[in-house]
Amino acid sequence: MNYDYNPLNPVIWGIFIGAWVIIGIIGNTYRKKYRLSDKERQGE
Amino acid sequence: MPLNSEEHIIEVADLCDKKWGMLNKRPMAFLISAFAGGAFVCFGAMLALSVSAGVSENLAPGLANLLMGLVFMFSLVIIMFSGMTLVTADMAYGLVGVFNNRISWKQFFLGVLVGYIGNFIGSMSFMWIMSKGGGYHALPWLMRAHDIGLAKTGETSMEIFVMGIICTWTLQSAAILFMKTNDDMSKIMLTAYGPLAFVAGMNEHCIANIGFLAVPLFQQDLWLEAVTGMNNITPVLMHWGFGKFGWAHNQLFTVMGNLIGGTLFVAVVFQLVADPLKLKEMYRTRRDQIVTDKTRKECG
Repeated sequence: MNYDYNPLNPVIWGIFIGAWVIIGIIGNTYRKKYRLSDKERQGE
Repeated sequence: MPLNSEEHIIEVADLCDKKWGMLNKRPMAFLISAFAGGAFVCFGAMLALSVSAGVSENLAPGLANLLMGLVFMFSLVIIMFSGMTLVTADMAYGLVGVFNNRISWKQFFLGVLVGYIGNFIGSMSFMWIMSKGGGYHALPWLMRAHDIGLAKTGETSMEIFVMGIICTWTLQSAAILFMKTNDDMSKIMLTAYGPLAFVAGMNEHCIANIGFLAVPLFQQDLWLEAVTGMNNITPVLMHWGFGKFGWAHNQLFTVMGNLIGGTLFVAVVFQLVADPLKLKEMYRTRRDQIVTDKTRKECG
């Protein structure tokens, strides 16, 4: 099937979800590793 | 003197704090700022259409793109200096905020959604008003607007998606560099580079495209009337839906591409380049400063 003009193009949705999984993993790892709480940041 | 990488990240995270603080405390104000941001983008789209009509491709194939970029480039400058909201810029600022624990993932996506809605309304409204303007009913502008629309909606989903990624990669590099310096002239130069690059580079930007594609759709009846009877033109019509020459077809894959370029290739990169230990130390220094100031206030 030709997905060139189909909103459900599986390759693009795959890349999109894959990219956000990568961003999520990097982001959550970073947040946990270098966390500075709100209170710490605001000097409380 | 530009800020170092860590100072720069803290500036961007502070801006994220301000923007999402506005969304939480004054959501209507945030929506209005997004409305204005969407309209500001379309000021550039209008100028780009205006200067590129009738430019012959025989002269130089990229000349119209260059002219469009040169007049479009100040759109982001007026957005940034006025403090209005552009969803694609917020994608990068917001993600830096997420990495710095300023906002949660849920808040990030909510901000992007509300920003998009405001930008959409602003962009559509401005272009609808503009499409009623007499100057743009003349044949060269009707033809140019329709040609831009056909070129953008006629691309395949992968072509649009890839150009969407490149668009926010260039545009958000400029938007994030806006925070790297405190000098106004440097800010203007850095910010203007983004729209120049993405318009002259023929990329796909979701908010600009809302306007670029809405104009030929609003004016399609006029265009059809003008070209009927011309022997060398076979009318190809655009439509609002999915599929070839559809507005929604272009918008969906542009948004998806934009959501990757400015986040994965800009926000994540800038964040990871900054030394996290230095960053933490700077936050501690700032915290100590706040504690000292508080103590001084309490003492007298």
